[in-house]
Amino acid sequence: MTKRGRWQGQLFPVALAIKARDFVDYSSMPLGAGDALKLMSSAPKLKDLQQTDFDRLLLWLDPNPERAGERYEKVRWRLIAILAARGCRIPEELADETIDRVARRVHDIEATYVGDKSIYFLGVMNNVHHEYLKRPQLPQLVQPPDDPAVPEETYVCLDRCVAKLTPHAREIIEQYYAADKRAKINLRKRIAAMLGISNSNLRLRALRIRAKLQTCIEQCLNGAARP
Amino acid sequence: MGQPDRKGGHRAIMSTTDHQFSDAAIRQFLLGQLRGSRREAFERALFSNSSLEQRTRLAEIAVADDYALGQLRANERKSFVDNFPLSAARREQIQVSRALGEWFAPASESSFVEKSKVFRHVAWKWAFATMILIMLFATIWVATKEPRIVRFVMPHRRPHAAATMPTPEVSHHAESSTEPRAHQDESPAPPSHEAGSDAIVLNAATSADNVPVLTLAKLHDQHVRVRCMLDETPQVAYRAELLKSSGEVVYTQEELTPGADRIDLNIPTERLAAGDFQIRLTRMSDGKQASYYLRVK
Repeated sequence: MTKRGRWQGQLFPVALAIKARDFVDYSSMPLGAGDALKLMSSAPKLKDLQQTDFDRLLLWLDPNPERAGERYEKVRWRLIAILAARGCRIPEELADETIDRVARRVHDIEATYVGDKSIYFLGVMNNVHHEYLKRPQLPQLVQPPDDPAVPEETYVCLDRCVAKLTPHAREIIEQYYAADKRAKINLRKRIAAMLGISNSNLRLRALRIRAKLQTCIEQCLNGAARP
Repeated sequence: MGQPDRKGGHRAIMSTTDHQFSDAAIRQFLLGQLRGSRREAFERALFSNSSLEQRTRLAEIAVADDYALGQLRANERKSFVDNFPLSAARREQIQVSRALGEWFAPASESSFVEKSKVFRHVAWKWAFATMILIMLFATIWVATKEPRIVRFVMPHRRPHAAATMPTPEVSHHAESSTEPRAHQDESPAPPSHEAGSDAIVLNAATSADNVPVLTLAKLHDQHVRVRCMLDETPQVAYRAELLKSSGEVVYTQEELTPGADRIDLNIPTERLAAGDFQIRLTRMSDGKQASYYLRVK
């Protein structure tokens, strides 16, 4: 989990409380029930993003808290995707830094800004990334993707999430992942023909189901990680 | 690169919103292979075009799948390792992709496309099972309705008890009977083995092992002469009935008068068929019965 964490599946006020803990280093303080509210009203350090700034950012993105949360997630995903495509080794950190800067500036621009608000993040991100490129680059440890050990929890969550699929969706995803490389192309063509859909449509369906599975598994893993 | 203009971003995106990016371009972007102005245009479009964002999210999953399933080309694989697993979310995607690949791998070709073949196999199995059931029921029906056919296939053997059934005299007369038993010892029964002629001698004491066998192929007359040996012969009338093993009476002869120690019957050959038969003698005066057994082949 990154500094910001992710909000999918979480109630918005809870997410705010979690963010408030992330903004200020309260690691030395004991936290208990209701501490989040205390933290939200605590005076943050000067360099840390203030809760009010973040609230203003969300309000600027959308007056509806739920939609604001969704837009926040979309913006963050786009920032990470772009930074990663640029070869940035710490895309999540730079994305969060970008969001923090925008949040601090919302107070100044919200009255006059016209247009798609998410585009503003792109400009700020360019600056953040430019600064990052100027820094002396330290060797970064990237988790090797070839690690063969898929955690057991992933399989448990996969099992649960696959069980939630409709039989039809399960059939599609099962077959989509079934055949080996050599047989896959022909197999998918045959599946598409049997379902009466085009090959690209089959792929799209399978990927949408796969995306749902991904979300479900992430929620499941996050739920399992929580005490 | 300065601070973004408050309206500049909007103006810029207007020029790229309609820009179309192919799936290949999206893939190149995710693998860090998109360069220069084309990459910048893609980045702007990604922020303004939610459709492109959706496609990119799906492509991100597809790329992770391809990597996990070993379906990336060599140059793609290097780009992937360098540029893709840089966020926790993507690393999770790769894990899930690998888990999915392992999870569904055993299913392989065997369930969907091959399902048609499997279905055909199943259909054949059902057809075969149905045929077996039909044959079974037909056999039962035939055995019930046409026992003659069954006997033709499986000749029925009479139980031992029937072969040793005593004559009416023995079974129904008391030991203290004062009636003479003159012929009890003096009537040696002719050998009750297979009789090739048109006459056959039956003894009430015939056992299952030596049931007389009558061969139809060797008969020359229209009647078969059957001699039933009696232990004693009161001069009263008898009725003879020829029964199949099923109990069906196929021939009856009334008012038979015994001669000496026997009763002779003339049974039409046409009434005989392969199988086991019983000749039941009934003494008309008191209803006492004796049975004789005969096998026809």
